[in-house]
Amino acid sequence: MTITYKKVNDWEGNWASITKKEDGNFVMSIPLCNDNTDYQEYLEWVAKGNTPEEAE
Amino acid sequence: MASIKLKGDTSGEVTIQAPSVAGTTTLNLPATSSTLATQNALGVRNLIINGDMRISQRGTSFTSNLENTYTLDRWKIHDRLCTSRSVTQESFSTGSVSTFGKEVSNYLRATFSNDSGATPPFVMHAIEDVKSVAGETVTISFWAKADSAQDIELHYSQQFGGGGSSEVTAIIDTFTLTTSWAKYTTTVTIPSISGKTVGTSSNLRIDWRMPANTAITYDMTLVQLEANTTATPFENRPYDMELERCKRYCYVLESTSVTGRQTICSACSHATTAGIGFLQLPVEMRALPSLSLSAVGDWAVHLPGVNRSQLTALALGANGDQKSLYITFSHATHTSYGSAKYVFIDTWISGTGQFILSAEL
Repeated sequence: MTITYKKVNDWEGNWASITKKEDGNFVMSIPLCNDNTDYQEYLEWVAKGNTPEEAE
Repeated sequence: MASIKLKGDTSGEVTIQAPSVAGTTTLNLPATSSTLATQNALGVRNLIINGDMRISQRGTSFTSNLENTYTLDRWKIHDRLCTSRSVTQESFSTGSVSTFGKEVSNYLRATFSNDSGATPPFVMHAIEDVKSVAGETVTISFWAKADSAQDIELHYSQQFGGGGSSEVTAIIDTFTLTTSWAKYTTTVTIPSISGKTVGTSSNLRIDWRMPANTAITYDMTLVQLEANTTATPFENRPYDMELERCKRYCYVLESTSVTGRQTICSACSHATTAGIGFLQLPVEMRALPSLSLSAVGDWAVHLPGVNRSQLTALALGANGDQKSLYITFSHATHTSYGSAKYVFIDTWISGTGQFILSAEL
């Protein structure tokens, strides 16, 4: 199972959230919030040298 | 004002004092042996939420990978990659008062087999804020049984959260379960956190650790953790109060009717392929929640009086908070949609779709 993340912009082009995927399939949308444990997992993933896919 | 003093045979005494006003006051004691709590006796003394396993917004049966996964509300599983595992919300028929001393509706059943053995699977509950009972003596009580006589261990773990100190964990007690329901209690002093750094999402975790390398079917209900030196009777909290407390951590919208559709929120279409919705949350959640779905295609955007269009993407928008959220969505091109059209997001097919907002620990 491969975990990846993708940045999502809002309608004004600002970074609004992160999409988590497993094997390319949508798992959840994560807010940019330090108190959110899924966001903390994302930060740990980045700290390990991974890079999220940029927003479209 | 008269009083009666009961003196212990070696130390201590209890004074029963008559009220200063005229009249007769009667204190009825329970017919069976019990504990009269004199400290922390007012409401909400149980720090465990959903201790009687009544609430299970995500569903009543969980059988896929349960590593680090919430099941019944507030109850998380670490299955340690067992080859088979399941968690279900089970129901009692009426008459359970003869076992528990009160009618109980539900219990949690966890079944594990063939774990790796290195770290056995466990059922856990996280109490928000590591400061909640730090440095205090607490008593944990629960009713449990297993499919055969087996030992389980109870552990605590002080989790200091993101950016905080390293966890402090220790075993509390070991219990030998039988195949019959029994109440287990233990008292422990949670370490002081003086000098520790508390980060984001800190919590006190209680783990019910299963035996390693052994298949087990474990049943549990009426779980209570209280800042007290003895176990008091399980605290009865109204269903609506307990549900609201659960929703601080998880809020699920779903369509369960085969004839109806679940409307998630009102929204505004701003293009022929996209729009933004606004969702008011029922309670203030612990943090900005994550959003997971049964499948994006389970949901549709609905232009009243015109048609519905299946969603192709959905995500949290900016500027949400713990009380309300913005949701951005995309759908197949439809010329009826466009600038400032008032729409709804609802389920694409009747009876399907689950929309989970999670601010869990």
